[in-house]
Amino acid sequence: MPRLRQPVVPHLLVPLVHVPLLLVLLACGCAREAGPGPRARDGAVVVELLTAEKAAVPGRILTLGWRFRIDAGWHLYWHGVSDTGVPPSVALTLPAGWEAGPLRWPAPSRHVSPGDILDHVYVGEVVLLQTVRVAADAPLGGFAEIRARLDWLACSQNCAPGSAELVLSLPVERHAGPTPDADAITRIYQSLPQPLPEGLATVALTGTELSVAVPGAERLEFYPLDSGGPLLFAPLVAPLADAAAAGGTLRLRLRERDGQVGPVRGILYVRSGDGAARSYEMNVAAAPVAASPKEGP
Amino acid sequence: MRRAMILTLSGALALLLAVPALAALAPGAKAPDFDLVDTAGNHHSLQKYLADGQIVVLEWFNPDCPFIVKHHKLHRTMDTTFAAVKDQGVVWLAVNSSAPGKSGHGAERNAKAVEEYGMTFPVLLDPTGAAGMAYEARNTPTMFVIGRDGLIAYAGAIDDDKSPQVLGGTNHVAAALAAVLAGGKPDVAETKPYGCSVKYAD
Repeated sequence: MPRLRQPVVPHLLVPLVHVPLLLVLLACGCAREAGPGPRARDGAVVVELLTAEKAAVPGRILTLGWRFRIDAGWHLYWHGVSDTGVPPSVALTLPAGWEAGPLRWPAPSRHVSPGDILDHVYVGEVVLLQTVRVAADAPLGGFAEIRARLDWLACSQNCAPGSAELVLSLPVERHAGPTPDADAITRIYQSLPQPLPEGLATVALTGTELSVAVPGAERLEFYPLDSGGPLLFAPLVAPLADAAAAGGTLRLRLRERDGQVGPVRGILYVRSGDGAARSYEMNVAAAPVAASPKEGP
Repeated sequence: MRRAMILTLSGALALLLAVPALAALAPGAKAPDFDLVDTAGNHHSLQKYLADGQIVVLEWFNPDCPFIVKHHKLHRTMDTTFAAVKDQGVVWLAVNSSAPGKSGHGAERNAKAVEEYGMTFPVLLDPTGAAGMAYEARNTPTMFVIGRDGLIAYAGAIDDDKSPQVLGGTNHVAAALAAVLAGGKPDVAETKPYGCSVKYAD
């Protein structure tokens, strides 16, 4: 979620070079890298702002992609539940009347460290997608500036916070064609976790055990999202042991609190026999744990 | 000078019975005993502090973790929180479970950190990770407040902002200490710790 953070590095005022389409402003401590989009390196990570459209069209949606290229051996964190680390954040400053949507997060991968530490991370590269609605009254013929402060934590043997400021100046026009990045952004959008299709999985709650069955699957993994509330951050008893398995069934032991289990929210990763992998949103409402028979009437 | 941790019966039992439940040993559990050596070679035994009627705060520590830097250098959260209660029978101990060869390991590095951060409490060395695993500590920092009864009264984060720079508006450990010092129980006894991973041996 966009939020304000105190800058950790003193700002170096870099004179803006006026290039018609794209401008880049780098925070101190970052090195400039050549390329089409505004980008910056800080430590082990290069961040770049991709856009699917060449111009902003009043009243229409712009699709942004925040690309993080992560050096080998390092990882960034997903926004769901991990034992350690924090996810990247993007704080956007937009022209008046423009509205930003939420960040959309690709499915992560599991990362296990000594001491039974389970994290959900990105390695290599990740692109977080975000849509922005251009103000209906944005003046045609001018330029509009999208300014973003990105913060992240990259970890390897040790962890290092990173940050960058990116500025994109887009022409405001009546029509906008696709950029060279548009196809890549579409592919990333299509690979985001989708709503769980009816009939794909059998999800059954028995007492405190949640079973998830996908016939024919070769591997299943479940990545928990924060279910809300200070005490519900860990809906699973043992995600390390339970939430990844070969075959078509997961048995997730749920934490019981005040006679209740769940809610459980997260991403279900399914790899089928042919090697194809897909991710789905899985939500299970909170439920009372049925009283044992001898306690019943 | 340095000596491996003596794992007492209760500590060993806690280790054997440990079921991964939360990100750390939960409130209400008996605090596993330990006898660890600090960077100056002094021994610290939990049992002894409890026998002296002290309340004990444990802070899992790694001087090279940005979240430790946040609370020791960017902000002086830990020392400030300790300063407010140190005259009321509270002992504060940092514990470093970094294994040899891992980030933040060793007496020398931690002695330097005590000086650099102006720490008002010692750093105990747990290079085997036995104490860290007995407490199921996964983060630096992970905080525990142990009551005079030897039970864990609070387990979790120091505050409620998990960024590496920004201080949270609520200091959970200060709140838990106030409750325990007043003879009660913390309203919030358990939160999710945040930070770096504890650097246990591979």
